[in-house]
Amino acid sequence: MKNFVGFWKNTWKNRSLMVMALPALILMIMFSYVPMYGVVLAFKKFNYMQGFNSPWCGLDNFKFMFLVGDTFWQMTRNTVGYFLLFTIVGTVGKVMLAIALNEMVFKRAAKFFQSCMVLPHFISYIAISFVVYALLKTNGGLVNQWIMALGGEGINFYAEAERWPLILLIVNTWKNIGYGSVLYLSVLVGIDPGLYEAAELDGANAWQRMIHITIPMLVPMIVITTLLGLGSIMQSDTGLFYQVTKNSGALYSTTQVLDSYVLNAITSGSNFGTTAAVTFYQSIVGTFMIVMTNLFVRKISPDNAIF
Amino acid sequence: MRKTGIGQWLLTILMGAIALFCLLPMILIVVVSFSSEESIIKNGYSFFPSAWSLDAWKYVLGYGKQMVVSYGVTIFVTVAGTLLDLTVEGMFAYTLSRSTFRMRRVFSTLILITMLFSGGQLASYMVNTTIYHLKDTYWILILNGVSAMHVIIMRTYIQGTVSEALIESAKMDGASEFRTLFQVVVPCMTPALASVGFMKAIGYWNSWQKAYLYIDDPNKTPLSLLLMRVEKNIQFLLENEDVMSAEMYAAVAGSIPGESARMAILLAALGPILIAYPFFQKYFVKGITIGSVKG
Repeated sequence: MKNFVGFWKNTWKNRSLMVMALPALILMIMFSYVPMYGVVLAFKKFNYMQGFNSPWCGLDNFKFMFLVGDTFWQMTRNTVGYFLLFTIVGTVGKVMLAIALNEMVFKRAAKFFQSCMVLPHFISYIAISFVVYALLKTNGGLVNQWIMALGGEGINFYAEAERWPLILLIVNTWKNIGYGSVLYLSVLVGIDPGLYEAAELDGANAWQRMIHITIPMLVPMIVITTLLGLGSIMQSDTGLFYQVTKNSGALYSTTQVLDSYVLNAITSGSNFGTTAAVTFYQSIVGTFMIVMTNLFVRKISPDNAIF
Repeated sequence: MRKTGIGQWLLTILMGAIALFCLLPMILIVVVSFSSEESIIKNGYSFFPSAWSLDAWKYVLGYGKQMVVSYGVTIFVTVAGTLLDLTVEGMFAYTLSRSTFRMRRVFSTLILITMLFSGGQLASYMVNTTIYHLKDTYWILILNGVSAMHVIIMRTYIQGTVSEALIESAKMDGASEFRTLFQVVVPCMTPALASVGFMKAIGYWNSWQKAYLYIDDPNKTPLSLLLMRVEKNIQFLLENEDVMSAEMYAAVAGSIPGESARMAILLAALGPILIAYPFFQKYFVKGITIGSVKG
């Protein structure tokens, strides 16, 4: 009880801090907490007239979600598959790039190269979709020009789904690898040069120094960023999957992810019940992943845990 | 001291090649925007067009009103959104950094929950349109929830650089909490504000999904949405080439910009980012490192 009174006394004493926090609290309630209530739509038979007051329908929406089965599993597979692909290729690429940049003796050049590599991160996917289109379009696209110059047949990229995992992997890597390597580079810069000198004295060559010093120093950061990243396994960048693919229906089998499905459903205004069920499923799995990965992180490195 | 042997030169060339690869798409955009339309139609896209031309840029300047309006909308949304977010989240981060403020535990938990669980896109859309009625307003483009990551970056930065003693002494001198924040703490946290501000500004400048979902009014159309519309019209043209009459086709085709003009519009939209980037790059490194190490 004394504690309770003390708490409110402290709050009153710091009332100007309460005022400072107020705008953030209002925004949080309006745009995070109220929409959380929106998950009830997953259990309602939605119609526009009644909106949030639509009648309950139990688990019907979920039944339907599993009934359309194929699309649903396909979207889940795409979402998780691309996430894993991007994480594995991306992490290896970022680490290699960071090590390579760190090894360069020409520091000014390294700095300049890094700036060039980070830049794509800040270019919007709309711009990138223009460029990808310029590269891939059937008539006059650069890639098709090259293929034909080499005597091959032109490829209609926007109709051939099986080519897109590779295309999206390249685009995603191109956009994010430089930015991601900044983090690993900052770890490398912090390694005590004395370690390398000692290893050199003991006769370790450049390769051994990398295997026994550089990589082990990076491992904690790699593990932690990967684990924390797992929390967003159910989310995807709609810029990549919606814009870059030009939302082409012919490519859905390999390019449609949960987020782009929901975006399509909202813009076409159809099937809100099933869509609500899909977003509910997406949120729940996401929450589960964040909690689990955070438990792990807290075990291995409490400082980096979110909670 | 490591020697600059052959390996170093190979490494430098390899890294240079990767850097160039990262820049190539931007170079392509610039080249195409200065290519003549005929050379593109005849030979397709190319880094080395057969003829150069300024027509695309004349077209962009002549595209006139909608371009200017959209530029204005994007600049307004970027500036207003970034300033609002920095103020709101900066103040919130400051309250979270005060160890004597017991309510901060509650606030931390509140923001943590927003990281853990979200209602999802559809729920947000329904709430924004049916409860707040934000469709076709500037508000929807500017107002967002609170970004937990950005708050944490700022809070960590304040805790790491502004000592408790400094804040206490300002208080002793009779400064109010607001004065302490704006005259003592804010000047110390400029690097954090710059790095978070840059990330936010880029986010607002590039954002398209909200505009796409909520904005119909041409007077509130930001650049990103304008680009999407241009793109849509072209797709419409390609898909309906055979079903449209010649006059209809000519009418639609006349209203959309040519290949080079599209790249010019795109470059006009990208320009400010490319110009601002060199000045801000030293700050975002800081943001990335604080943001990810201290989750």
